[in-house]
Amino acid sequence: MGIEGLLLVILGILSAASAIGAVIAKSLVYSAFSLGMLGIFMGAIFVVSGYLYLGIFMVAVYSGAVVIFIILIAMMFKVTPRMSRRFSITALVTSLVVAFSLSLISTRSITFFTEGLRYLSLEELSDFVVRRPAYIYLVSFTLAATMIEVMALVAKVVRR
Amino acid sequence: MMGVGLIILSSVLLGIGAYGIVTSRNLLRMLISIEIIFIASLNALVGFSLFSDNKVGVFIASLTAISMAIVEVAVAVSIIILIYKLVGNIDSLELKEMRE
Repeated sequence: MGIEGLLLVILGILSAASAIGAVIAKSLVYSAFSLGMLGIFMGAIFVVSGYLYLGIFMVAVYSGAVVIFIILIAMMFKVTPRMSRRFSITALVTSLVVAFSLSLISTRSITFFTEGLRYLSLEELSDFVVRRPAYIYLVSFTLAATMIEVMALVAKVVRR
Repeated sequence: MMGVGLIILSSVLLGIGAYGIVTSRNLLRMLISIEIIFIASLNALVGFSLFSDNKVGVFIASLTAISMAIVEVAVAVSIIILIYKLVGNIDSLELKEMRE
């Protein structure tokens, strides 16, 4: 195992610990803070994987803006009680089964792919996005329209 | 080998996020769990891309997904504030009781 593999193992353990902290923390602020740490660790994983600018974008925009926004909102609400203990144990067992079966299926499917089965190439997607920039404009306009609509709805209700 | 590790990590994160969604009653905590699942899906995309030669497509798809997630957070927080303004709390069980 090289230095990249060792880094990946350490960052993966830290990411899983941050995700667990985000789920089980009693305070909403600590939960959002753990989500921010998860974003930072995930950006580091992207950098180790060879996606330098994706990692920078993840840390700068996601952890830097979105998570801070969630922390700001989380400070305004009080803590709500959780589900019962019996229900939590059932959910824990179900989540473990889902995670284990999904990882098993995914790793097996990679073996199938590399053995020569046909799979969807990503070249078509990149050609579609790069050669037809109207797609980006369409997505941007749709997102902007959705945000304006929601803001108008909130302003209307608050004014009432 | 690195791709397999990333995919296993994404499965673990998905399980943690699903557990958080099911066991929480607070809408904001459910949003945080949904964000964990989004990060898991992004991690799976990067992990699968290590078995492909096309890095540009994965980069563009990931940037689009992150942009979508940012807008999703803004919209979801707006709706949560709206619910708090109308109902007075963000407990999902109490909202369910009000619906009935």
